[in-house]
Amino acid sequence: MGFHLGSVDPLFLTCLAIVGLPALAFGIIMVFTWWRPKLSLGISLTCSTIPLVLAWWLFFTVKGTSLAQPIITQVNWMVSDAIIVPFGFHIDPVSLLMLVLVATISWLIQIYSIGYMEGDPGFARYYAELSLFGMSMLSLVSASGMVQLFVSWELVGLSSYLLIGFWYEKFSASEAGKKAFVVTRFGDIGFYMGLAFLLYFMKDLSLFGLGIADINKLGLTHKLTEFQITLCALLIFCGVCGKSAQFPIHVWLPDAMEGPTPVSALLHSATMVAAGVYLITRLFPFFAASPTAMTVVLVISTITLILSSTIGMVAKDIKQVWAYSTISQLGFMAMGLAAAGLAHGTLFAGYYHLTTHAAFKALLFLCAGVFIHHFGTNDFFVMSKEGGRKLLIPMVTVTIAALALSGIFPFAGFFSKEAILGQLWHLDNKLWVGMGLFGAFLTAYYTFRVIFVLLFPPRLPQPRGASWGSLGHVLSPHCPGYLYLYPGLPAGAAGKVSPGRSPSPCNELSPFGVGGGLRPERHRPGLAGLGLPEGQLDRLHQQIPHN
Amino acid sequence: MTEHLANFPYLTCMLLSPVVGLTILLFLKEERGLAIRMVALVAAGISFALSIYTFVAYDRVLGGIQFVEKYEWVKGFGITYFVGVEGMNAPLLLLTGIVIFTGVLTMWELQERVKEYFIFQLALVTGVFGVFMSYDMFFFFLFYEIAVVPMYILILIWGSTRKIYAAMKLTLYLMAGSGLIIPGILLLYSSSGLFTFDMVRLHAVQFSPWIQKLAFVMMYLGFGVLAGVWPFHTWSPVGHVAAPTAVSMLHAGVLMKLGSFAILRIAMYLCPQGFQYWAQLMALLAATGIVYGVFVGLAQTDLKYVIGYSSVSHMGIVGLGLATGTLDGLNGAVFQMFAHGVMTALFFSSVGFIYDRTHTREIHELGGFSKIMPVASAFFITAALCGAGVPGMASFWAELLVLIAAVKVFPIRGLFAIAALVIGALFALRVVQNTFFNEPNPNFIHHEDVSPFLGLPRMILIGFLIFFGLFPQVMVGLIKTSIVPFIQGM
Repeated sequence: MGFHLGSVDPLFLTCLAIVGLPALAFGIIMVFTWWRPKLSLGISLTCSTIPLVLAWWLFFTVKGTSLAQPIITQVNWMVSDAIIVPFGFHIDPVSLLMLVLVATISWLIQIYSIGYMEGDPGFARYYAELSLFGMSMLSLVSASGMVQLFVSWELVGLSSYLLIGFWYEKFSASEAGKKAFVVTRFGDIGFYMGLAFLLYFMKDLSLFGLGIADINKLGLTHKLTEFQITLCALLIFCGVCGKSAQFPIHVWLPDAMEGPTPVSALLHSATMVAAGVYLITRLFPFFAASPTAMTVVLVISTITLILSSTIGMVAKDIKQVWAYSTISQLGFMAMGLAAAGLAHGTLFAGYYHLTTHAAFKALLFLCAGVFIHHFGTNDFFVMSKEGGRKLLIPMVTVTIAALALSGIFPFAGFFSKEAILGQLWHLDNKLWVGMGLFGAFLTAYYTFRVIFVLLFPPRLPQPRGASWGSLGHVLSPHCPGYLYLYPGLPAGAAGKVSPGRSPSPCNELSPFGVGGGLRPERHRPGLAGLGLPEGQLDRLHQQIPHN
Repeated sequence: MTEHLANFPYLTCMLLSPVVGLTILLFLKEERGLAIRMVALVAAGISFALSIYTFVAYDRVLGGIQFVEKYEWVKGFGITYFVGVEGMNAPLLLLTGIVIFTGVLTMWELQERVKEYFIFQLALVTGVFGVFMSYDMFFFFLFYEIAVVPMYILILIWGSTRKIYAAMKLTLYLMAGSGLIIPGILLLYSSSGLFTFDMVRLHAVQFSPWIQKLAFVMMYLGFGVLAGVWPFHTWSPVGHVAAPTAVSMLHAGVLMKLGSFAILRIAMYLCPQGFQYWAQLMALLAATGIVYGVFVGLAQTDLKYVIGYSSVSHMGIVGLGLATGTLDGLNGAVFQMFAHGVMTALFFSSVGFIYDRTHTREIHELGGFSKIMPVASAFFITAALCGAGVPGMASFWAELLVLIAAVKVFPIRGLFAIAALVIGALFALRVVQNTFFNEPNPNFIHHEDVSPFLGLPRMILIGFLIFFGLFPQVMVGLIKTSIVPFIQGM
């Protein structure tokens, strides 16, 4: 038999449990308990809580990894001749943080959905599909090889198709699901071809398993010609464009808001769409080896940032605004990464914005869910007229998240955006940093358009009675807030964005930076009190090579 | 290749079990419906169990041809009864076992001329088992014809939608194919000077290049008709549509693989130089078929036509894998034969259930079936996702192997084949959306969902698809044991 577990490595088994349990939940619910909603909920919650605990446990206990020296634990999944597919886990600070982030947000969404989806005839199916999504996303962020990553990537696409089309009797929903799947498929084909070409160029090298670490080494050691790297990187970037909704294949994301709102929060803001940017992070040394590819990424992401921000400025549907905002922020992250690649920086800025954005955008969507659930409409002008501001807690949290999204000090968004702008500043052409600033300004504009409309309705009638929503409903949106919005974490991490460099000029330039030229180091206290993983982030930061 | 004799005639039992079953059926009265079904099920079940046994018990370390039975039959012509199992036909025997067993279960509700139906179906499957296990060209061809002929009767009597035309077209096409195969086989037989039909012995002969080229192209085209190679595929969607459910399952799931397997087993094995000469053409036809199949499938309105054209496209992947002639490509081609067989059987099995209830397969007349029959719909949707190449299912790995191997050997054709995946996804999802999503059609709202017993065959098929999707090495490792010596011998 060709299939065997090599040595039974406890780390491998832990990771396997993190990835495997949600898959198990999906299987059990789909085959046995799909007609028992409560039981299915129990199974799904159990199988997402254990990975959550395990992921946090790994986050705090795994020592001795760095970007340059990841821990790779894997077995052979399929061995043909030139095509060797390992199945395993690539553990380094980037994937550890992402594991925690994905596990936490999926778990919170599952809690939130108990109230939101109550009484829906497809309740059990909904939880099965959420579990499938959790499994594929966790596997995506921790995969050790590109084929496993691609498999998870496609499974993420599948679960997003199922979740967007969850209310399939609605024509618009099934249409949106199909559109999302097919459009992202266009990008994935590029990804597929990229992998095929990579194997084609490497055909002299035997036992090349398309491992992530191996590919990054290729980028660093220049085994391939620059043309070959550029070709593969650009093809893989097609996949990124599809998944992260970059121009010109961003068209599926606004339609994808047909799904239930928790799904929008989970898939289309915090985790799934971030997968594309995460892939660039993962293959950063490989991408960085090709300035041409990085320039293309920079151009595409800048167009995406500006274009989708301007659409977000005129949308009336609150979820549409957040959807376009997501596209623009993804563009912003990609800009940060591309600039770092061109200016020989590190992946820190773009990746950092990815993590902070996941938290505040999930919060924005969850708050939007509360409003939509309460008023039965997606139009925030109508919500405003009917007394949206009377929903006190959601109003406060949405404002906090909006402050973070607009990059107001002292919320997380300020620090991560500053980091990206700092990267852009290091490019020779100052046009890019100008575009970044302009995009950031547009972000602040459309975000506060929503907030001001909600806060200051033209004429306030008698409210329909303020609702606090169900417990899970009201409480869970706060959790991402507690985790990321308050200053501790950003200060702890962003404080060292560019040590050894001159103080970033963007602090003075930033139109939204209330804190102006303050150095973030001074704001570290919040961290310890909240029990946030300061040490981890510092470690992550130190391990990123500075050149 | 080393041969290991069997200590028990497993393969003969596998082959004869349907024959015994159909002989018993001949003596049963038409009225005894349950007994007829049980006999057919047990006969198919024994073959199924033995096919699993040979798949599992094949010794991968030892390799070679195992479970060999070899008896001289007609000494003067050099005809031997020579059957065996190796890595490349073990999956196909398993596939045949799966499809015949689930096929009998799928046809459980048949009311019309039940006895004759099962007799012909068991005769058909005997031929299929025979082809996959034979190492003698005479028996190979004999079983091949046994598999093709009952198809005519099965479609003609139990079929639907232009069944007379379809049955005639199918039989004529396949007979034309046979007309090319026989001269090809006889050419090799006569020019070898050994007076034997034994493939293993013929393999040792160095045929002159022009004989190889001629024999190869004759057999490639002849078997290619059955394998649905573009542009000789036109019989297959018509035939799929007209055939009754389980026959469609066997037809698309197993019978088309006879063609591609024969190309691998006889044409490529005996005429390696001929293969090198024609490989470019094979790749071109295969890639054209892949792209053409998905585009035509996109325009169909009959569910079975959609599946028929998706088969043309998926069989193109098998052809492309064969054309590469590399280890990865051949591994992928054999894997794809298996994966596509199970997937298509699932497709037809699910459609058959819906058609039996609603008596329509027009996509625009159906709609919202997920509300009416959630379980039956889930089966079809699973098959459609598998057809769209979603990972976690067996066909993903097969396509991965073939496409990556193809990009290495034929970059442009490989890229076209990869690009066709998008259209493949689009057409699978279009069908799923229009048939199963949206508002339900009020005419069909009273129909009941599939019962657990009738759902069983589909569950078996899905189980195999997902098992090999999660553990592809079980399959690839086995196939590889025979492809490695195969490539070395070429």
